[in-house]
Amino acid sequence: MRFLLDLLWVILAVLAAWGLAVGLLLATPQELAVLLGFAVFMLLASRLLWGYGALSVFAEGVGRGEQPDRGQAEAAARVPEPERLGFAALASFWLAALEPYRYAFYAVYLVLMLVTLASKLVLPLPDLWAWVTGSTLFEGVFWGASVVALLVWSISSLAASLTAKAASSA
Amino acid sequence: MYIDYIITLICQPSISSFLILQCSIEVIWMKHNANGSVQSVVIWTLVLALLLGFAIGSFSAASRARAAVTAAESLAAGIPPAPVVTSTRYDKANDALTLRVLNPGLVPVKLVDQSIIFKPGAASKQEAYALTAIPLGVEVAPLSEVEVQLKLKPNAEKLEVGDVLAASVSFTHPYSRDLYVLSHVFKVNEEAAKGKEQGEPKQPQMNKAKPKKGGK
Repeated sequence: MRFLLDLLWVILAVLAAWGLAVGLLLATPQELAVLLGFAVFMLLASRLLWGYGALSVFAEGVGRGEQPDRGQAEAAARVPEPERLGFAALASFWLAALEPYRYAFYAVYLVLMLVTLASKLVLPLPDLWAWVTGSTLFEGVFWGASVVALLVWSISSLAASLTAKAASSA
Repeated sequence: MYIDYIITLICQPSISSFLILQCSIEVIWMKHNANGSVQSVVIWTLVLALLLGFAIGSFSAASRARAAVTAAESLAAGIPPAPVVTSTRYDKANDALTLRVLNPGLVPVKLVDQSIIFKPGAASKQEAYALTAIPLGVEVAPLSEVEVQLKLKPNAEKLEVGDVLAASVSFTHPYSRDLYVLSHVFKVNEEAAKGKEQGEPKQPQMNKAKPKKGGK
């Protein structure tokens, strides 16, 4: 049974690699730009995604009245004596500790958005098609980054609401 | 390809309006984020993901449409569209030589003027003559064929077997200011003298209009 499952995973991995290879070969430069923006902004956001993800799990447990493992939370919260804090307070400090990274991420994303919008400001009137298709590589990077921005926004909102819930239930 | 183009035209405004929409939704969101529940986070995320997917999908479609247009344009630019004569017919009633001219390229060419040199055969009583630079002004659309009538010299004798007509048509090409010349030699044999169409031996497999019956 286990062997069959492993085999399925291998088949899936081979098919995925095949599909990715064909997709990369057939992709337009703009689509590759989307991929590039997505990959680079995922690197930029990885700390946020993992941090807010772990915080969400922690705060959800606290909100349910459980006593989850404090180790990661105490390391991440960046307060002098985290072991003296309650669970909900620890979650709040953890949320606050992630704020600078979130700010930095949104700052980079906003700069990219400004560059993209600014590249769209000039309207070449004789050839509107050039406006539709011009400076598309910046725009592609922007769209790839937008996916990550949506992920960051949604998971940070989720962590914030779960932390608030944990605080109100405490 | 054109459907992609239309989709792009429809979707492109949505990409920019999506930015505004996203910003305004985030502002609205921030206003009552204080009590934001997990459910509302999930729902807003789904809505935004749907919009974002729509935007990225139309961006991708636009890039593909653009690539298709570029490929078609480079293909069109790469084929030298010199017109070719595919068949010739002596129009006895009108005293004219009718050439069927095919434009195998993807850009139009314009036939500017025509010249005819007549060289009599042994059976002919007509003297040799040349008619030059008779204006034509026919545009041959891409991948299509036109019939061009070259009038012979007025009041000349009818063509006889053994006569030779050298027809030349000058044409212009949209990518150049040069004048090109197409030359075609028409040797009158028995069938040709009766007005039968003389086709060139090799023809492309194309859907083309059936040639009209020559003569009467």
